[in-house]
Parts: sequence; C-alpha cells; structure tokens
Amino acid sequence: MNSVIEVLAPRYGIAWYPWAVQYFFLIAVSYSALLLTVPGLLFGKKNYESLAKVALLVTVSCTLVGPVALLADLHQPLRFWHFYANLTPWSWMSIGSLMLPVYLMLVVAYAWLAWRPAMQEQAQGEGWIAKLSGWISLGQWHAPRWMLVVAGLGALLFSFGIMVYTGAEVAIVKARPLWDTHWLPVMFVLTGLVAASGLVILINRLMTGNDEEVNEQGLKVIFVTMILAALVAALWISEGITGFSPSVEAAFASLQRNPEWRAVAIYGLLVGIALALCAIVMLRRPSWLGRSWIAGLLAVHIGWTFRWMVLMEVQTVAKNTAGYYHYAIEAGSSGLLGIIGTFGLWLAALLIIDILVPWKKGLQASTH
Amino acid sequence: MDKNRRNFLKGAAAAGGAATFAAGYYGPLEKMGKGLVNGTSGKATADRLHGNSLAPEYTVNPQTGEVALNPDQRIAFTVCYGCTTKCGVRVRIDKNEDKVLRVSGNPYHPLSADEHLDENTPVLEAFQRMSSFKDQGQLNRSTACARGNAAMAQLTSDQRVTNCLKRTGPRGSNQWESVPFEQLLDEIVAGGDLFGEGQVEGLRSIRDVKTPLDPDNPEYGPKANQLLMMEATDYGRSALLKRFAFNAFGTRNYGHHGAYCGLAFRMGSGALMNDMGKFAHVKPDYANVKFALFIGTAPSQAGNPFKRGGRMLAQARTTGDMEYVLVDPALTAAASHSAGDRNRWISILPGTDTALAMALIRWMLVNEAYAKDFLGLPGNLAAESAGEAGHSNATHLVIEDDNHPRAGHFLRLSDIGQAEAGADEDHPVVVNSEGQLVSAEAAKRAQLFIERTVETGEGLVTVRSSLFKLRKEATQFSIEEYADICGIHADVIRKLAKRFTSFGRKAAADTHGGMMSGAGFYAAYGINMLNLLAGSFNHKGGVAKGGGKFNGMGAGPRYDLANFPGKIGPKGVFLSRSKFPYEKTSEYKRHVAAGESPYPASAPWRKLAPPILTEHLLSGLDGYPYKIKAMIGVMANPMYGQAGLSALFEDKLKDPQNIGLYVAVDGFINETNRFADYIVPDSVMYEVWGFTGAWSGTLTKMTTACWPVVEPRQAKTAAGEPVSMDSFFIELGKRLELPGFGDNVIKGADGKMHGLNRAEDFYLRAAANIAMASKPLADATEEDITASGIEPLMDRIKSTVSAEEAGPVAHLYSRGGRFETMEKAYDGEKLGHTWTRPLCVYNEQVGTTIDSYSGKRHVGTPTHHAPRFWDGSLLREHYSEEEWPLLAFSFKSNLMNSYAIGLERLRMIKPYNPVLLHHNDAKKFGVSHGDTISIESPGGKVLALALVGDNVHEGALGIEHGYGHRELGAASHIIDGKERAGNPYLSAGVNINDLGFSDPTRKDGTATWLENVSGAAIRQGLPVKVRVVADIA
Amino acid sequence: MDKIRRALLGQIAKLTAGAALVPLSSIASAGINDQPPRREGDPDKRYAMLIDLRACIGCQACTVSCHIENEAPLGSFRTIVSQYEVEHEETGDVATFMLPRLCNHCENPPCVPVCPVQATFQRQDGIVVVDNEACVGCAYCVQACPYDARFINEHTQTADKCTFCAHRLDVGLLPACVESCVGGARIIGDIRDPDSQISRMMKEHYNELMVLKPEMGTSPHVFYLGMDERFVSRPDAKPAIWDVRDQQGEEIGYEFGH
Ligand SMILES: Nc1nc2c(c(=O)[nH]1)N[C@H]1C(S)=C(S)[C@@H](COP(=O)(O)OP(=O)(O)OC[C@H]3O[C@@H](n4cnc5c(=O)[nH]c(N)nc54)[C@H](O)[C@@H]3O)O[C@H]1N2
Ligand SMILES: Nc1nc2c(c(=O)[nH]1)N[C@H]1C(S)=C(S)[C@@H](COP(=O)(O)OP(=O)(O)OC[C@H]3O[C@@H](n4cnc5c(=O)[nH]c(N)nc54)[C@H](O)[C@@H]3O)O[C@H]1N2
Ligand code: SF4
Ligand code: SF4
Ligand code: SF4
Ligand code: SF4
Ligand code: SF4
Ligand SMILES: [Mo]
Repeated sequence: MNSVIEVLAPRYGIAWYPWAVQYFFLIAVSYSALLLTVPGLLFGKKNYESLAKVALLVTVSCTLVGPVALLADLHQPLRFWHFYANLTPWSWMSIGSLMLPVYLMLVVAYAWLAWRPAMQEQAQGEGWIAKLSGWISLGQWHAPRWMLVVAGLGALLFSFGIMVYTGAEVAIVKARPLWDTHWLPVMFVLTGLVAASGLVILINRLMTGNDEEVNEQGLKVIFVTMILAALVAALWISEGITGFSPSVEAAFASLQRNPEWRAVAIYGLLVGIALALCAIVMLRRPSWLGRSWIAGLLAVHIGWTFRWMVLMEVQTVAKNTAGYYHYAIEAGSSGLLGIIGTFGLWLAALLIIDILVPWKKGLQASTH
Repeated sequence: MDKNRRNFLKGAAAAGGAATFAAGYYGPLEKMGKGLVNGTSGKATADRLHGNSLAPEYTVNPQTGEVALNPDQRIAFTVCYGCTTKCGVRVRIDKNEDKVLRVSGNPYHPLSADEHLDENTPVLEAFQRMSSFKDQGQLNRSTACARGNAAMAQLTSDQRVTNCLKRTGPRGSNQWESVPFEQLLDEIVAGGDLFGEGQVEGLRSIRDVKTPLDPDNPEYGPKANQLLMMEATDYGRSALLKRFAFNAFGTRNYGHHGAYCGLAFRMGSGALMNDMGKFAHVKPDYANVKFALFIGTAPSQAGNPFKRGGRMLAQARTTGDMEYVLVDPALTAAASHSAGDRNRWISILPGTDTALAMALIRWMLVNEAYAKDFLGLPGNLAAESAGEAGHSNATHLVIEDDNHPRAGHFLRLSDIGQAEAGADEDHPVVVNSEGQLVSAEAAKRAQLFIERTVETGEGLVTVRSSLFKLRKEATQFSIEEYADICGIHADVIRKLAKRFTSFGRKAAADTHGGMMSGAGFYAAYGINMLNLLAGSFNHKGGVAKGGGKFNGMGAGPRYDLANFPGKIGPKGVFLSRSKFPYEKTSEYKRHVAAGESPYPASAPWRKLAPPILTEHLLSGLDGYPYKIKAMIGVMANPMYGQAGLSALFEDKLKDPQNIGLYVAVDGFINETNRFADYIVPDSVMYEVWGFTGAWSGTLTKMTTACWPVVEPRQAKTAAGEPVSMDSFFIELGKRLELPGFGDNVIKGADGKMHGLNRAEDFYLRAAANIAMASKPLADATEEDITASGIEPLMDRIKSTVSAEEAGPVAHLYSRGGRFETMEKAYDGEKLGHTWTRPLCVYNEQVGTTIDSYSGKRHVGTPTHHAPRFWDGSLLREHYSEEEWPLLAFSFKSNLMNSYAIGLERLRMIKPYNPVLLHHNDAKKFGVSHGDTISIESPGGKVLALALVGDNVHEGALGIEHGYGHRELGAASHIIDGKERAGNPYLSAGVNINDLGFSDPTRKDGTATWLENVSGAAIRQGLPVKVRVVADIA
Repeated sequence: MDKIRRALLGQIAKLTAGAALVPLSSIASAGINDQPPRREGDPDKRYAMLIDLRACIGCQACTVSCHIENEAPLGSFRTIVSQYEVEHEETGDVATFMLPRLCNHCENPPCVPVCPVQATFQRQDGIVVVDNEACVGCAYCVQACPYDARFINEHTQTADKCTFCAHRLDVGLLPACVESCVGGARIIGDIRDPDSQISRMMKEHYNELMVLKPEMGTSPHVFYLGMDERFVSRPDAKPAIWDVRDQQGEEIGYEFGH
C-alpha cells in the first residue's frame, strides 16, 4: 500500500512543441552530414567523394530548413530580432542564436563553392535553369580551392559550436534530471550521425544509383556510432545506479514504476540492437548492401525518435507532482501538421536543389 | 523520361512539399502576422512587467500610510452568494464598465475577517488596515474563499436566465420562449389554456382564504394552501417572500431546503437546547476551546459558516492551543497533516453515530466525568446563585408509567398537588439532597440519578430523573458492542472520551451534515449531549449559540414591516403533515369512530418536524393530505439536492394533471426548475438587496446588508425596475390585489403610510430599522460614502427614508451591515451572548410525541438505534449486507457547492469527483486506483472513477458533493428557437443523490427515504454495490 | 526514495532555508549560465514568502484570487495548492497535506540566465519578473524552472509566472493570494526588515523552515513551516486520477488543456 496519494494536482501542458524536435533533428542531421562530406570534399579523398555528394545535399537541405522550424517554436516568432538586439552571452540559447546564422552561411558558402564548377558548366546551356545557374554562380571567375577549404573548415568549426550549444542548452537544465547529463550532447551527436548516415543511404537509394560504396561507408558509420551510443547509454545508466550522478539517479527515480517508460526503454534497446545487427550483417554480406535503405530507415527512425523522446516525452514527467502529464499530439500546426509541414519544406528544399544544382556531377573536391 | 518532364514532376513534388509546409506552418505564420500588426503575437499587455494584472484599487503611502483611491474603481460592500455562509465581501468594480474585477472580504464583517473592525472605523482607515502598511493586512485579514472569488463569473455567465421564459414544449422538454414580464404576470394570475394542454387554474382563483380545500378534512385549511412556495434558504430576501406567502396570499405551505440540508442535526440540537421551534444550535468557540470533537461535520472542508470555520480552525491549531478530533467516514481537509498531533481523524461507518454518541455518554456517566455541579442545578434560581447563565433538566423527574395520562411529561408541582396545573409556578419537581420532592426553582441543588415512585393525583407512579433515563439508555450496550456497530475500536472510544472530558468545560462537540442518516436525529441529540454533560454551553472555550442578528424586517423602530392593513395569517395543515399531531386529524377520528386502529397512519405525521420540502413536494402531487395546484420556487433545487427525489418525482412533475402551474424565480436553469412552466429571471450575487443574518458560533450580533453594487443584467419591468424576486412578488401582489403590496402598506414611526412598489421601498426601510435600532449609527461621512462606493445608492436612500435616517442608513451600507464590536463577544469567562433556556437531558416534547406508525411515544433522550425505515424496520432487514456490501455517503466539496459547477475557475482546479474507496474493499471487489466503476443502489446506478486509498472507512464509499450535474449549463436548451448549447464538462462526475431510493415501507413510491423523527432526507449510509466497468472507452 | 536520503534532503531543505537568512549580496558574474546582475526594484528590500502549512486549509482561495488578479488563462496557474492524503510515518494516522506552490523567487534562479533576450530578470528586491514586451516566448525559462512555476501564457504568448504581485506590493497592497488566504497561511514581506512579520516568524521558526527541492541549488525564497520531508522533492505518491469522465463513463479530457 502506497502511503501517499496525490488527490489534487494541476496539469501542465508542454512548453516546447514538436517544432523543437524538428529543429533538433534537422540541425543534427545537418552537422552530422557535414562531417560526412569532410573526407570526400574537404580532404579530397576520392573514395569518399560519392558519399560527400549525397551528404552535402543532405547538409544543405537540412541546414536551410532547420531554422524555420526553430522559429516556429518561439511563441513570438517575429520577435526573433530581440536575440540580436539583446546579446546575452550567458545564455546558451543566445549563443546558439549567434552561431546558427553564421553556420548556415558557411554551409551555404561551402556548398556553393563545391557545386559552383558544375553550376558554371550548367550555365552554359539553354533555358531558365541555365540562366539561373549563371546568376547563382555569380559569374564565370574561378574560385580557388582555398576558399572552399576555408568555408568548409569554418562550417566545421561552427558545426562543433552547434553541437555544443544544442547539447548544452538542454543538458544544463537541472530542472529536468532526464536532460541534465553531460552525456546528452554526446548522444545528440551520435544519434545525429546515425540519422544523417541513414538519410544519406536513403537518398543514395532514391536519387542516385544506390552506390554501394556510399551504402557501405554509411553503414560503417552507423555501426560504429551505435556501438558508441550503447557505451554512452551504459555509462549514463551506471552513473544513475551507482549514485555517481544524483541527477541521473533522480532521472531514474522520476520514471520509477512507469510501464510506458519501461516499454520505451525496451523498444529503444531492441531497435538499437536491430540496427547494429542490420549494419554489421549488411557490411559482411556485400550482396545485401543494396538493401541498406532498410538500415537507413531504421537509423533515421532512431535519430528522430530519440529527439522526440528526449524533448517531448521528458516534458510529460511532472517536475513537482507525482504523475506524468498527458501529452497527446495535436492534429494542427503545433502538432502533427507542423511535423509533416517541416518535412514537406525539407522535401521541397531537396527537390529544388535537385532541379537547380547538378549536384551529382563532380564536386570542387578534386579541382585545384 | 526526358529531363524537362522529370524536372516538372520534381517541381510539382517540391510545390507539394512547400504547400504541406505552408499548411503546417499556419500557426507560426498567424503569430507572425499578429506580431507584425500589434508588436506581439498575443494579447496586448498593459504593463511591461505586470502584464494585464488588475490595476490596484488604491495605493498606500509607504511613509504616512495615507490611502489614495483609484478613481477608475469603486469598492463596495455586499454579500456573497457563493454558498449559504453568506459572507460579507468587498467587491472591486470597474466604474466605467460596471464590471466586477475581484472580490475579497469585508473587514468589518465577522464572517470574513479575523477580528472584524469596529463599525466606527472610517472606511479609508479600514482600507489601510487591509494593506501591507506595517503588515496590518496580513496580521488581520478579511478574505473571500475560492468559491467566493470565482463566483463573480455567475454575473456574466452565459447560462444566466435574463428574460422571462415560458415553456413552449411539454414540461422538461427544455424549450422556451421569452415573454414580457407583464404577460407572464397576466397569465399566471388569470390562468387559462396557457400551454395548449387544457385549462390551468390561475393564482387569482387559487387564492381563496375562505373556502376549505377539503370539506371532509376541514383542518387542512383554505384553498389558498394549494399554492406551495419553495425556497433554498434565506439569502436575505425571505421576509418579502413570506410576507407574500403567509400574510398576503395566505398559504400555509412554504418550504426551504432545511429538510435536505441538515434538519436531523438541527432537530437533534433543538431537542437538546429546548427549541423545537427554530432548532437552535451551537458551534465551538474556536478562539478559546481547548478540545473539539467534530462528528459528521468538517470545518474547512465545508461546515457553516464555511470560511469563518476554516479560518478559525486554522488559527486555533496553529497559533492557538486547540486540539481536535474528526469522526467522519471520510478523510477531509479538516484533518491537517502539518498540524501534527494537534488533530486526528477517526473513521466511522456511516449511519452509526448513535452508537458512538451513546458509547461516549456511557463512558462519561459511568466514569462520572461530567459537569456534576452544573448538571445538579435544577432551575433558574440555582443557576443564578451559582453564577451560571442557565441550567439543565438533568435532575427533573419524568413520569414513566405508560398508562399515566401524563406519561412522558415531567412531574410537576401540580402532579403532587402543590400547584395549579398550567400555572406559572407549576415548576418541575426534583429530589433535593435530603431526598425530598421539591420545586426545581426552590432547590439550590438536586440529585442527579433518581428512580422512585411518587404518589400523584392519578395514583402511584414511577418517576426517573432525566439523567437516570439517559444513563439507562446509554448502558443498554457495552462500549465493545457500540464499538462493533460503529467500526471504531473500543479503546479508541474510551481514549476519546477521556481526552474530551479532560478539558473540563473547554471542550466542544460539533456536528452537522453527517447526521443526515437513518438515525440522524438521535445521533445529533446524543452528540450535543456531550456538550451538556461537559457543561460547555455558554462558556468561553465551550460552545456558542452566537450573537444573533439585528432584525430590520419586523415591526422595527422606524417602520413596521411585519404588519400591514389586511394582513392575514396562514391556517391549516402543512402539506408535509408536520407540526400537527395525527391524533387531531379528522382521519384519525374517523378511524377511531369506525373502531379501527388508527395506526399506522397513511403516511408519517410528524408533530415535531417543521414544514419540510422533503414531504411537501411528493405529498402535494400525490394528494395526501391534499393536492397542490400551483408552486412558486425561488432559487431552490431539491431535485439535485435530495437523495432519490428525481427518480420519484420527475414523471409526476412532468404531468400537468398533477400540478397546473409551476413558476420558478431563479438566476439559472437547474435540475428542478427545468420543469417549470415559467422562469422569472432573478438578480444574481452582487445585484441583490437583502439582509442576511449570522451563523451560530459568531459571537457578536451582526447583520449583513446587501444592495445591487452593480446593475442587474436581466430584463426590466414596464416600470423600468429589474425583474427579480422582489419585483415579481411586489407586482404579483399588486396584480392579485393582495394586502401588503402597493401604496400605503408600510407604517412609519410617525404614523405615515408608505408604499411598497419597488424593492428599495422594503429594504431601505429595513435598513433604517437596523441602523436606528437601540443606539443609532452615526451619519456616514462624505469620505465614507466615496470610499465604500455607495454614491450610486445615495439618491435612492435620500428619496426613500427620512432625512434623519439617511445618514445612519448610509453608514450601514458603507460598512456592509451592522456589527457589534468584538468586545461584546465575552463577558469574563462566559460568552457575551448566552442561551438561557433549560437544556434538555430529556426532551419532554420529544418524549411525549407519538410515532404515527407505531402509535408509541418517541424516546425522549438520546438513544441508540440502527438506520431504519418508517415502519421501524431496519435498513439491513431490507437491503442485506451480502447484496449491498457498502454504505455510500457524501461530503461537501471544499471547492464546489451545489450550484458552483458553472464556475470555470473552480472547474479548472477540480473538474470532477473521483469516489473514495477503501483499499481493502477495492481488493475485495477487484477495483484498482483510477478504475471506472459502476455504483448501484436500490434506487439507481451511476458510473464513477475510484480513488483507492486509506481515506475512507472500510465498508463505506465516499462521494464528494457538487458534481454530476444535469443542468446549470450541462444541458442544451432551445430559447426563442435558438439553441443554447450545454457544456458536457459541467456534468462530469457523480451525484450521490442519484443513488437515493424510496422507503420500501411507505405506500408504493410515495417518499424517498427520510429520517423518522425529522423527515430529513437521508444521504448518508445508502446501501450500494460496486463493480469495475471494463467495457468503457 | 529511501528514508535516509529523504531525511538528508529534509536537512538540506532546512539548511537552505536557514542560509537564506544570511543576507547575500547579489552575486553576479559573467560565465555561461551565471546570474546576470539584478536590476530595477528597491535595492534595500528582499521580498520573500513564508507559508505556514499548519494554517493552510487547502481552500484554493489563493489559486483563484491570483488567477483573477493576474488574468491567467484558464488551466494555467501562477499558484495552486496540491493536496495529498498522507499516512503519518510514526503513528499511521492518515491526514491531508496541503502544499501551496508558486514561484520561489529563488536567490539563484535558474530561469533567469537561460533567457536568451534578458526578458526575465531578477529585481533588486529579489522578485523575478518577465518583461513581456521583450520576451520571445521561447519557453526556455519554463523548462529551466524546477518548480513548474512558469508557463507560456496563451493569451500573451509570453512567459508568465508569479510576480509576488509586484504591482500591488509596490503601491503598499498585499498580493492577491496573501490578501485572500483564508487560513492566514501566507505571509509575505521584506526579510531585510527585522521587524517585519515574516522576519519575526522566520527567526522564531528558524529550525523548522524548509524549502522545496534544495538539491537544485536555487535557494528558494518561499519558506514552508509544517513541511514534511517527503514533499520537499517530487513526492513518491500515487498520482491523482486525471481523466475526466462524463456520466456515461466516456473520457472527456481536461477542459482547459493546452
Ligand atoms: N465548501 C463548501 N462549504 C459549504 C457548503 C458547500 O457546498 N461547500 N455548503 C454549506 C452548507 S449549505 C452546509 S449545510 C454546511 C454543511 O457542512 P458540513 O456538515 O460540515 O458538511 P457535510 O458535507 O454535509 O457533512 C459533514 C461530514 O459528515 C460526514 N459524514 C457523512 N456521513 C456520516 C455519518 O454517517 N457519520 C459521520 N460521523 N459523519 C458522516 C461527511 O463525510 C462530511 O465530511 O456547509 C456549508 N459550507
Ligand atoms: N448528496 C448530498 N446532497 C446534498 C448535500 C450534500 O452534501 N450531499 N447538501 C445538502 C445541503 S446542506 C443543502 S443546503 C442543499 C442545497 O440545496 P438547494 O438549496 O435546494 O439547492 P441550491 O443548488 O443551493 O439552490 C440554489 C439555486 O439557486 C440558483 N442560484 C444560484 N445562484 C443564484 C443567484 O445568485 N441568484 C439567483 N437568483 N439564483 C441563484 C441556482 O439555480 C441554484 O440551483 O443540498 C443538500 N443536498
Ligand atoms: S464561504 Fe466563500 S463562497 Fe461561501 S459565502 Fe463565504 S466567501 Fe462566499
Ligand atoms: S521558482 Fe522557478 S521561476 Fe521562480 S525564480 Fe525559481 S526558478 Fe525562477
Ligand atoms: S520565454 Fe521569454 S522570458 Fe522565458 S526564456 Fe524565453 S524569452 Fe526569456
Ligand atoms: S503573489 Fe500574486 S502572482 Fe504570486 S501567487 Fe500570489 S497572487 Fe499570484
Ligand atoms: S488561501 Fe491560504 S489557506 Fe487557502 S489554500 Fe491558499 S494558502 Fe491555503
Ligand atoms: Mo445546507
């Protein structure tokens, strides 16, 4: 018999909506995919060029769409300029607000430089696309590779900034023990890499000829990051069990005896194992590489769902009172439609780039 | 596919994606749009930091304490209708919009303030005292409770009735049309084929004060009795209603909610306090009591006065030195964990309080732990010389032999030939210490326990002293046996008795709603007996009747509001067959003449009970003793409030053959008046006139004055007056040409006659009576008038009362009433206001009244019996524990009341009422915390959510009252062809009264289960069974 | 939570409450997530509230009066009183435990430094406020408050919370909840003024005062008297039943959900 019963307690709604999940997902895919472009594009490693091509497309599309979702999570979206009028260096969110546009611009510059030669070539042709390409290329002058390297390194540098700020922003929130762990930023990056690799594999399947090399490289990243993620999860759990981190311990306590959270944990474990197994089996049997998209899907699912659980479901754990708030996703803008809408925008961005940019052609990677 | 085509398809897909986005992004886009136009995506705020918080009503200079009023606001004092406590409140009003902003307590008012301010304190100073200046406002607060705060929404509720409504469909079909007030009056006065359902008799022809309504039973009175008047309770306007009913129309039949509120308690305490007319009761003197025992009442959960009780309890257990025990089937807010061992909850099985009370009495008597000295005082003289405010009849001798013509009466001097029967000096007889029979007024002291024979004019009879009789009743069972019955361990009972008695006369026992059980009258009598045995009446730290009220509506010093030319008095038998002995009816005589046994009567005749709605309604429709033809109900809702009534009454009420005309005067459509033929819109809350009185336990004398501090929102009469209860009865009286209404009906002190044409003609004159009583109040100053927001009232005061009265009347309204000062609360170690009637260990009236079923006399002292039906058979003989294993009871919501469900700000805190189930019972019936269960009684079935825990007695099931509505906004109504949609959230939860059932021993369905002596509705201890409902979404 | 840890927490709760009595100069430094300097308000005052739970009757007058005074949207609360059914650990007696909750006007308020636009700040008198003209509605502060004391006001679309009714305090009036407190449980005042009622009471009950969630390091300035250690942090209790059902047993949800 439980000796305490809560007879009357308020119900609180959630404060961050699914928009936040969308932003955290897209931005993580963005910086992770950016990482995947590095060997092929920045270091000019030939055997990673195909990977880089797809990854760059993913990076750019996600980078463009992410901030749109972020803006929507503000209840006063048009006041976004307050961020810049009141610089607040002690707030992670403010720091993030400074980093995000720079990062975005650097990613765009990086991609522009990478795609420019092909664009310039396309500009020679007929029709409106060619004309547009000409404008976008800003002329036929030759951009030296150092420009691309600078933009790429800059983007890379800021992508670390994004990793740190998105992670820290959430992880410093002591009020939510489930967030308050230094492992959370690490997990964000790892699951971001998983999702980005998954998305690259999917696009590779849908928009290119399902390049096996890309699949293989993607699967490798997935496998390694999943192993690391498992390790991190294990460390997090041990911090809780041993009481090494009171906050993690409190996090565990907050989920005590909750069958839904137990189910979620078991599900997460199973999907994680499934993905790791999938990856390793496909890597070992090259004949199966063609079906990597299955792993790709799983990977994207894991990356997105992790953020859903962390950002949305954790908000249903009452801070003060005994229970769990009920959160049922709404149909409208601040719910399902918003989620689908964001993906719609991403798809649109992806396709528009696809129409305008001959991204499958050679990248500036090899030119000098 | 060629490239262009592919690009086109991609473009189309991209456009699709973008469109989905636009659709999904409409929320933020909308916000951006608003942001662009208004600078904010939300509602504009008045202040950067304080948003739209209300502008302060006044400011206080931090150095000088000077108060400066906010010119845009007005503060006015009036009454709260949030519950029957009727607190005096201060209402903040936006002057420009005539809108109530927020409400808190009137600092002059004992029901709202910690220590109420002296009436002579200037209003601005009172405001300073409520401010944070020198922490004054929190050292001495004056508050409004949650309901009192939320209730202002009643004014603007979209569920208000604002026009006169006439039904357009059959009764109860929720279809109405608006009609002008004058048409409504015409129709109900003249009658006719009003609804296309045949002729309806109008009030004009019903009002016949000469013709007997039933020639065979002339004692039933005139035809005018066929109008039944019904009211919730006195919210300050009853005097006008009664003037109409009793003294102008001439009907005998008026009933209020008393019989389904706390009548069993009131009569039990009336029996003890020797007041079988008004049923006085007492409350603990919280400020000084050392130990209080609450049995079946839960101060701070409910209790009257709710807010004062809660506040006093909180203070007494925190800064005072009170300790208390709650005996209740349910855990309530009154049991405070934080207050630690200052308080304790003991659970009890519903309906078994007589066992507990008798066990405690037994312990006290057997262990001689009672106020011997006090009880030994036989009469007034003795009391006076002992310095007591009163005495008891503990030592008085009762004639015991059944065949003695005065069986059950006190042995009086006339019985032993020492006085003329009925003469003033025909005092009761007691036995003095020498063993002699002497007059109770002669002896200084008398023996407590007497059983002997006495030679009377009628021969030798056995007599017993009251206390002897009580001990005899109490010792019928052992403490263990009592413990078994009530489910409280015998040792706990003993400890409780010991603790209670260890505080001497600074101990108090209190009860109320828990007595609405099948043994309620005797339980309440027994519990009150504890106070008498402890000697705590009239003592500081004991129990208090209170200071009472200033009555302005009688034959006052300035205006005679009680008498008028042509005034008549009601005659005949009440519909409820109360206050009238069956033995005096023609029916009884016919039985006797026919040589048959007159017992049992066809239905209960309760000589002791007041007129009771619990019988009125069904009797009036069923026709025993007689049928009614019309009913006017004001603000009452018995079909929600009386257990089992709806099921029994609804179909009968729907049929116009049973009752021709039902007019309701109300602010809302409730579970009862939805069956009305007409609804007259009434003022709500702060729009009303009236004078409300005090509650027991309020130590000083007081009267609350209320006036329409905001303009009533309902329709107006042709003369421009708001349609309301007041204008309705005034205009109806005039239309019926009744005495007492219209011109020249109120006599002034100067002999001049005044008219009664508008509400203020009555109320402002009553105000003059109060303001000018004894030492008249001072004139209000200009500053008081402005500060208390009565400027809008001044013209009406000046044009209604004399110049000499206007100042004091303004003073009265500027303070929200008249209030005796705190100094009058005590007189040394005694209370300032005392109760001086002899307190009854044995109540002669009770002991000599014959039960109309059995023909036997009632027991005149507290006694134990199990819940029973009219024929005396026990509940469990009809509804076995095997079939109905649980006893359901209800307790009031600390948040809601019976009509608060429409208040969103209360609903948002507690939207419904899960029922309390003990974990052992839950286990037994396979119920888990949070399960949906069905609860079934012999009379109905409801669905509820189970809150499983330790918060209820095992074997009992607790239901918080105030939820499970069907009306008051829950249901849809068609008004003038348009639908006024109901809100399903108002119907959430359950009402235990839907589980009420009819007394199986009364003629087929003629009554709900009522307590035998009082006729009180029984809502505590209804037999039920529960089962989990699995097939619910 | 086991008993020992709980007792420890209770101890910390008391110590934290006690520490608040030692006047702290507002420590401001510029590291990430550190408290920014306080601004506005009277620098000579430090407002705080003491809630005497022994006097709280759970009437919710505070909840409703605050709601009206501050125009909160239905279903959102600047203050509310949680109600529990509790078994006494030693005696086994069952009683009701009432716990009024509101913003603690923490000495180290985690809600403040997170704000990306400095819309929420702490006044020099300790009151934590939100500038609703500056607030971008990011809800970061809502997440950061360990006490669920903040919400996004659906009317204004900005962060909202208890302001200790600064608009009333500043003109010499009492906050709505204090003014309406039926039990007389809520006491507000300046703890720098040794003569104030709150200072006197805090001195008198120095060893019994507790605060909520001391482990968060927030140094709350709402102090509780008559507190049970079990409620200092998130209580280990059977949660309330939240699904509202109609008379037919159909789930109809919470009317004022957001
Ligand atoms: N909050 C609030 N306050 C109110 C009101 C309201 O609606 N809401 N209404 C006002 C009115 S009209 C009245 S009359 C008063 C009534 O005030 P109370 O008498 O205090 O209230 P009730 O809830 O009627 O009953 C009191 C207690 O009796 C218990 N009880 C039930 N059955 C039994 C039994 O068989 N034996 C014992 N010993 N106890 C039992 C109930 O659990 C309940 O706690 O409250 C007034 N104050
Ligand atoms: N099971 C159970 N039953 C109970 C109780 C219980 O505790 N449990 N309590 C009992 C008690 S103690 C009582 S007193 C009775 C109460 O029962 P009643 O007095 O019959 O019912 P109320 O709902 O108080 O009736 C008042 C009606 O007045 C109307 N009204 C409300 N406010 C205003 C206003 O401002 N102006 C006007 N003109 N009309 C207004 C509404 O229509 C409301 O229904 O219920 C009793 N029934
Ligand atoms: S107790 Fe509350 S609801 Fe009842 S009259 Fe007083 S303030 Fe109004
Ligand atoms: S209680 Fe919450 S909102 Fe209030 S100051 Fe502390 S952290 Fe900030
Ligand atoms: S919601 Fe407003 S106050 Fe809160 S952190 Fe965001 S901008 Fe600051
Ligand atoms: S101080 Fe004001 S804002 Fe804060 S809880 Fe009380 S009433 Fe609400
Ligand atoms: S108003 Fe006072 S007594 Fe009532 S619940 Fe709030 S804090 Fe407690
Ligand atoms: Mo009542």
